[in-house]
Amino acid sequence: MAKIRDYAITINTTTTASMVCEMPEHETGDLLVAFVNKDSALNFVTPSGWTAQQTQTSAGAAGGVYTKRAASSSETVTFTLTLETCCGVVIAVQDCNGTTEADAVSGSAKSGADDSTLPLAGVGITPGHNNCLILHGLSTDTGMGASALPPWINLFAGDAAANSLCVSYTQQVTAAAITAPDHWSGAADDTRGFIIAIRDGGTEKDAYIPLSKVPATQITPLNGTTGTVDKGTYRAAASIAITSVAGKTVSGVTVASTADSGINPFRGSANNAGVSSTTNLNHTELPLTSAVDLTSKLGVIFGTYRNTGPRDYVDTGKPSQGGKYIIVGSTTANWRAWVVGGQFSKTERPDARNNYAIEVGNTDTIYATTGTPNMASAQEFAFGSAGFYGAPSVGWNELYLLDVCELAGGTEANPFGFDDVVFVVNNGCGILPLLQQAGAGATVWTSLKFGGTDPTHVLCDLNTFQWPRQADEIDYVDFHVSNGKLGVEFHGQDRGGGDVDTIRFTNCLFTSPSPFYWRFNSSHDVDAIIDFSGATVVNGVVTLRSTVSLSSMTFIDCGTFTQNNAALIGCTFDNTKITSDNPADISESAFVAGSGHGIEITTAGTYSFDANTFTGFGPSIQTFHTTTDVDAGTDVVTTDTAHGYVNGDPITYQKMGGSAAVGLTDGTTYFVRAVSTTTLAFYTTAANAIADTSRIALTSTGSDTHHIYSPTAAVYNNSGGAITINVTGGGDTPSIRNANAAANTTTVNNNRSVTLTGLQDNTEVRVYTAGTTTELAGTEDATDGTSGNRSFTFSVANGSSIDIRIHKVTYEHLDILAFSVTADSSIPVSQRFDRNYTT
Amino acid sequence: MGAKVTFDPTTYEIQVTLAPSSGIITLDFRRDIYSDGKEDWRVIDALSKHAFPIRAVGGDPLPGSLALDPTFFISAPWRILPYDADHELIVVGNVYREDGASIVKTRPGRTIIATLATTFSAGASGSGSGGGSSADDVWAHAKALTVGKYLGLK
Repeated sequence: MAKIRDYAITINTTTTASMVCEMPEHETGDLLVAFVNKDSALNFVTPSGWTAQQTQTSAGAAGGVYTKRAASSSETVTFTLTLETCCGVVIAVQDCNGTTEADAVSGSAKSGADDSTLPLAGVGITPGHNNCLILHGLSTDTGMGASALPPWINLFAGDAAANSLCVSYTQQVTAAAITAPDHWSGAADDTRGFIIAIRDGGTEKDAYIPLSKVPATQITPLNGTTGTVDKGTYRAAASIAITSVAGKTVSGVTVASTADSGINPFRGSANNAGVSSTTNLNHTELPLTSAVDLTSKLGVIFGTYRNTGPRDYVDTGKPSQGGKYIIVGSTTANWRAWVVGGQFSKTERPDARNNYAIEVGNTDTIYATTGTPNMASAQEFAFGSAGFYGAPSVGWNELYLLDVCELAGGTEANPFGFDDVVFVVNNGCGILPLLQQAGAGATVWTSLKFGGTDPTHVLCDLNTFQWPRQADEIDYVDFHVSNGKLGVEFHGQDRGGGDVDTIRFTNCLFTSPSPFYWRFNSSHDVDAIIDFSGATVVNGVVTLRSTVSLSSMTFIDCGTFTQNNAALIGCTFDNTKITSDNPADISESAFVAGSGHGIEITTAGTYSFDANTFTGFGPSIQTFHTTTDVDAGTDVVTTDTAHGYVNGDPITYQKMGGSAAVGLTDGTTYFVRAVSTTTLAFYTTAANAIADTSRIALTSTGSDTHHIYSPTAAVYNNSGGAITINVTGGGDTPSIRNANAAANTTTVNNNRSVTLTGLQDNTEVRVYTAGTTTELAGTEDATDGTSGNRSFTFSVANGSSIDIRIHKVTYEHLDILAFSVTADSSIPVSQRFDRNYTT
Repeated sequence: MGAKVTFDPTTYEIQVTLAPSSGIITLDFRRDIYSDGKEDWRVIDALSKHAFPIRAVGGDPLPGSLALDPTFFISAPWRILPYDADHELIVVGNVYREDGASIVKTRPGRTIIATLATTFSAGASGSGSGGGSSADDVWAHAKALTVGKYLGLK
């Protein structure tokens, strides 16, 4: 599809007879598209060399869309006016079809009817070709800062005081009727939409949000304008209905629209000046004209506020005193309140716009509640503060209900990148700071999805995506969303014919202090090209699919990790337990111990562990006999082997189906004291174990074999059956914990392969544990290979020390003694003819 | 199984199983003990798990179709246990225990005269691929060509 190379904005807030347009960067062959608007009902005059695709007037304003195929990289355009204020946006579109304007424009541009009712309808179009870039302009009378509602992506939503212009875009893969985009603004006046479809040249495509995927729905713009604009009528200060919040009396305060103070700086915000009081709160109530369902979509609302000045931050009470708060309810008797800011919190910035997100169904971090609000029919909203240190003046702005923001676009050769993601999300969700960018990273206030509907080609390298910390009502108060509620999902597709998505996030960091989801869609196609090499996920709730293969990734502190048969190669799992039904799909990976296991295996079977390493995990299984190994006099048990625990280590005591009562509770975690290398005493706290205080009394009884497991053993067999692990490729032997039932058994075979080569025919090889006659492997006659160059391969446990004896009567005996096996190895053998053998 | 001796890895004995003939047992160490022992080691699992207790040197070809006399070293603590009867045991070959101790074990209650018939004449006969003297050769010329070593075991 065609792609926007650049765009430039021109605003004349004083009347002028000539609008000399700022020009975007452009190249020869680009299609230049100019959307213009002025404050009079006189049509524009078409500039020389340009084509008027559409020009229309509405009451009090005129607008149009003009095009020119750039003949150079230094094109200019000037519109002759009749002394009006005006504004315009010139867009340079690269990779358009053909060489002429006609080649580039699909069908005819359209203009809509005069509309002065919110939402301000633009105009739709039915492109005549697939893969068109759709550009839309809304020309309005009155400077109202209109912006396109999601999922159209705003390029400009500004004004020239007396008139305004909004230009937005989308993409369409398959030609079909496109519904006119809706717009919202700070006022309602006459408007007219213009739309044009640009045919693509096949190599470039902008990122966008598919039209069928609306990522956010406006609840109220909080322009501070009562009535239609703010979708409700503010209650008078003296008539507020919610007069007590969290046991504090609430004073009503009036709201005013502070011009040009919104997220879109061409629009106002709802400003309420608080009341100074060390005991009372104050707020403004906005009952909406129509109830909204806040339980749909993500069930998360998003809004912003800013202090009128830093002093207003100082005036605000701490979060515990009420700070800045939001009330959402279905009636004045059924509502919930959340603190979203406050002095000395770690989340409110005194001199900047502050975001907040609230999952309305989440009551974990509410400040106050009354009744039983029906959030499926929310109608009551209030915005307030605690003026503990003065009268804080706060500008509230925009309130949206969020849904997943799905991105598409790009081409395999020219994928969209991080900056595109930030731009599209923020400008495709109204104009919301959902991705707060700082350098190469961004804090993400919504859920992102890459792919799933339209062709998607994304490449982000060395970027950071982080989600906010969940509110704790003390320091962190801006993100009242459940753990794992928001996150990022990848959904690559293969549409056939080589039309395969490419999703690449190399060397990126996905992180949050609170869990977020990091997952692949259940329909992710195995043929989709993905690359996350070098990427790190911290604290994610990870869900993979069998169609996914990840390599060279790092997962840190991921509390939930569902493998679903995904292939994981060369990855690092640090304090991350994989829940796996097929651990054989994990290879060449490093597991680093944390607070739990490395792998929880949920399906019985035999699995290969290829070259996986385990570092720092707890000891493996220890057992003891409930009579012979229990010393009731000293309250210690003797383990079957050296236990490997140190004082204060946690263990899980499991009877494994036994019944003897030795004084410990089945399935309970205790802390141990290593009385010796093979004896343990038990305590209820680590401190007691270290101090040898309150040792649990033991009883010597019965004839069971009970088990001691480490809760940080590398592998947890929770399959309900037998598991055999065959370690290959030089991997470590994992320590084991079995779930508390006799059926759970785990066998670990960690062998190394040793191959003897160069053997003579009819040679016998015997392998023994070093210094013993315990045979580990052997053959009467090594027959592999070729005559005079036979080989024999055997496997022994990693770390074994072995003796190898090689016999052939006509050759000298050969002994290889105390050979240490630490890796797969090959030993070339040269047998020497025995000149002293005779028959 | 060796025709004249068996190897017992539990007692580290090379037990002579050939009964005396006319009060004499003659063993060609190279053939009857070393080579037969190697064959036993090849087929008897109880033996093959142990290191073969005899190390041989020599036998290497020398100029003139001669060969270096073979010499055998028995690993300690292995020894030859003579047949359980009064007799003279003649061991033909250059045989030593690697630690210098006697190669023959005593049989309490038996009078056994053990003689080691050694050869140190490089290239006594044979080709470069074999070498060394046969037992018959050695015995026929024992008095003249070899040093009889009376071991005085009783």
